[in-house]
Amino acid sequence: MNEAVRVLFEKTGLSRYISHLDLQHTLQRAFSRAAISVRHSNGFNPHPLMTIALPLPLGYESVCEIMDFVPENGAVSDEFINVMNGALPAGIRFLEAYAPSRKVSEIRWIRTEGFWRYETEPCIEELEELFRRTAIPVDKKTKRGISQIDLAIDSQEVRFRKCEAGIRVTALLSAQSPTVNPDLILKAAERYVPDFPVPKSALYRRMELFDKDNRIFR
Amino acid sequence: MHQILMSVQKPARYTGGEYNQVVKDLNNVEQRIALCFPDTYEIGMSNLGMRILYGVFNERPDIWCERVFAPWRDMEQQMREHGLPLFALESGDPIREFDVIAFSLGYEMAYTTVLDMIDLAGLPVRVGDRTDEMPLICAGGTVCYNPEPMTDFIDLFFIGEGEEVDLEVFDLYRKCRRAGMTKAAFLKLAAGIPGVYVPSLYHVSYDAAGAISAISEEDGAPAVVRKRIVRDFDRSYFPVRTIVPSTEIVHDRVVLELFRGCIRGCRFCQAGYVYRPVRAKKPETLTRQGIAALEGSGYEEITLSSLSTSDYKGLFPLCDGLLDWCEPNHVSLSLPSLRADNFSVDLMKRVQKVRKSGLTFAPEAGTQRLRDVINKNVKEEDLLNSCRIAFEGGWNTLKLYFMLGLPTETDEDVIAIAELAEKVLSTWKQCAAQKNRGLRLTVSTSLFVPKPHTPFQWEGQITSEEYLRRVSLLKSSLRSRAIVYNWHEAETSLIEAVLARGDRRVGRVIESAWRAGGGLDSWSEYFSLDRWLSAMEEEGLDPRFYANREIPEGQILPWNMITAGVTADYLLKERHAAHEGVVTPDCRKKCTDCGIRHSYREVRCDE
Ligand code: SF4
Repeated sequence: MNEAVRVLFEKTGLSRYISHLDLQHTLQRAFSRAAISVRHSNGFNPHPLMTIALPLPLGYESVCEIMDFVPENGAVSDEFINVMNGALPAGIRFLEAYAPSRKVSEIRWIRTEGFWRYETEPCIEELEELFRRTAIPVDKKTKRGISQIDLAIDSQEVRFRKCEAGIRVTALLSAQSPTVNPDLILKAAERYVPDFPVPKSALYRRMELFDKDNRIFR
Repeated sequence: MHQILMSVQKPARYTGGEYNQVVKDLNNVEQRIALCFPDTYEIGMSNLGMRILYGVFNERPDIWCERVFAPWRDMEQQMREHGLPLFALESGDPIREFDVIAFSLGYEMAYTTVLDMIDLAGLPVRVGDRTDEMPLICAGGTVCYNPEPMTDFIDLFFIGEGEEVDLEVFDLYRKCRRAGMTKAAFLKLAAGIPGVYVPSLYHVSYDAAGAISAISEEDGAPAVVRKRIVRDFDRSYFPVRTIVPSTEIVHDRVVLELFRGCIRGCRFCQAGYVYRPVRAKKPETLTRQGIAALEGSGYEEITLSSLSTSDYKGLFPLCDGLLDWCEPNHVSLSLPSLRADNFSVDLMKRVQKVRKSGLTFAPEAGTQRLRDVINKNVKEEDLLNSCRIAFEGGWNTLKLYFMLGLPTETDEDVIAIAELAEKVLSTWKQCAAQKNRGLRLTVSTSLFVPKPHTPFQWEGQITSEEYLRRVSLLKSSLRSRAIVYNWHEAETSLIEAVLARGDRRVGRVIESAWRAGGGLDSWSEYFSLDRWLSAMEEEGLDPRFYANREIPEGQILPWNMITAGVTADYLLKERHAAHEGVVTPDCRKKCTDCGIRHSYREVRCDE
């Protein structure tokens, strides 16, 4: 896709419940509404040339989603962001559009924030202790079965902070190969911290993308 | 809420927030309406009527109409566990705080879901148990042409097309509330609005055999409520700026309604009688609205919808006009429910240049004799000819729909279904363009359900046992293995017949069935015949009385206080013609004076 345009967008609020597959349809329709033609693939079943990087799990928010698409006439106007934002459902907002200079495969880390809700005052010392270990193996369910992830390798800067009604978690998590979702932190806590209480609910939000040198990815 | 949504399937259907949903500032709104569809989001959002009413109501700046759908069982359970009352999608506010709750009722099997939704809203299901402070609960839609089974639960019914009558009722309600009037006083006034039926103002008595002996109305209520219709359909509201769901629904596309009503007069078809007269939009209007709706929604498909789409006079200019826009914009055009005539297949060819979806024809009966009885004017040669054109054009998937248990049906008629299917098969063998791919031919049968306001309203339904006998007769007559035979269960059709022809007493059955765990009965996984039968037994009512009994012609029908504008005499004449096997010409060939012309003088049939 050498004429591709990259869009940085956010998916927050109610739109967090739109699944990845539904998001693709939703964006396609938003493009049509905004009268922006997306180039279609050739072949028997033409489909719009549009890819969303790193599928966001259902229920998660994000302020750093990335989508590449090929506009029919090669470029987008200055009004593109405004026009699109008038055509999107609640919670999805385009932030920037630009010519991509790097491949999506270079994304190494995602900074993620989480909030675990508790009704009783939680304790975080043991969690901090846990993430100082040199090996934190956890099981990750995938379509093909269960795989082993070592959070000591595939997560960085895991921090916990007590706040009103719960714990705030921040972490840099491996974006791909393997993909580490923040609920694995919770899994690790449940596995290694004795009597770790399950939170009432867990909310997550992707904050920023980084490459392998911890530089912001765009 | 997050925790609840994360524990249920497809949470996006409970959040609202879709593109084009209407959100208003409560400070500027005087009346809040919960427009309820007693089925899931995916079904309800696919309903054009819902989209029209939503648009019509929200055009009024002082009204805020929001959508409410039935939660799936997992969500319902979560809501009950967490004490979360039924809420509207746009605001998330509990609907028990609204002024009006309005149900759109399209099919009988949704009745228990209505009760479920009222209960989930935190309101008593029975009219008599609700106070003046609670919302007014009303209903409209096709099944309300016999409102009687739901009269225990609904304060007021809209008879006819909602875009006409509903707002008049809402306005009156607001005035009455402001004046501090009671609900009862309001209802008395509302009964004076044409097209409004207030069941509490009518009294029904029964004779020893259980038949209705008299229906009487209180002062001020009309003896007969006549449906309201949109007079100028070409200029009626069409939702150009319609909501675009962010999750997949059943009919995920723009739906264009070409006309209301139907010229044909099939004698079993309730829609064909209650939506008379035919009122069409101009092709220019439809082309304009279709394109605007596609531009406004971003949908990649548009479909033409009406009772008998190929009867639309301007079909070719309309299709051409739409295709001119659709093709360069990667939008596809689809046509459902076509008649088995050459014209339709030509049209299919024109429209579906690349994608060859399956064809569906509904001859309904196997012999010409029985097709004459039901006034389905499709000739065998027309059907075979259409099939030939389709097969030559490369189609290789065909579905044929029939009904079993139609009045006067004999074993010969049943066997003739198999013969007809075999003829279709040999037509394919003769002229298929692509024989190597084989033909997928499906024959489907359902059990005939007599419906109010049709010439067959008096007929009894055959018993489930008899239906199954005819099913196996047909099955053994279908010799070719290339034909797949599907038959609908008789169980739902029996209950559908009970509810369709039910009187007021059936309300108790609906309530019992619901209390015993009913709800979402339109879904086979939640329907239970046993639950319905024990509910009937509990209430001392016999399903055979409602479903299988032939109603004597002179008897008072439960829906006698409602008219769709077609006279009772006409229906009776049509019934007699059916039994004599005499066909009635369609409205375009000849007006046979069904009464519509006199009831709605300002409207010209099929202009
Ligand atoms: S009045 Fe005549 S033309 Fe009009 S709907 Fe009735 S039969 Fe048809």
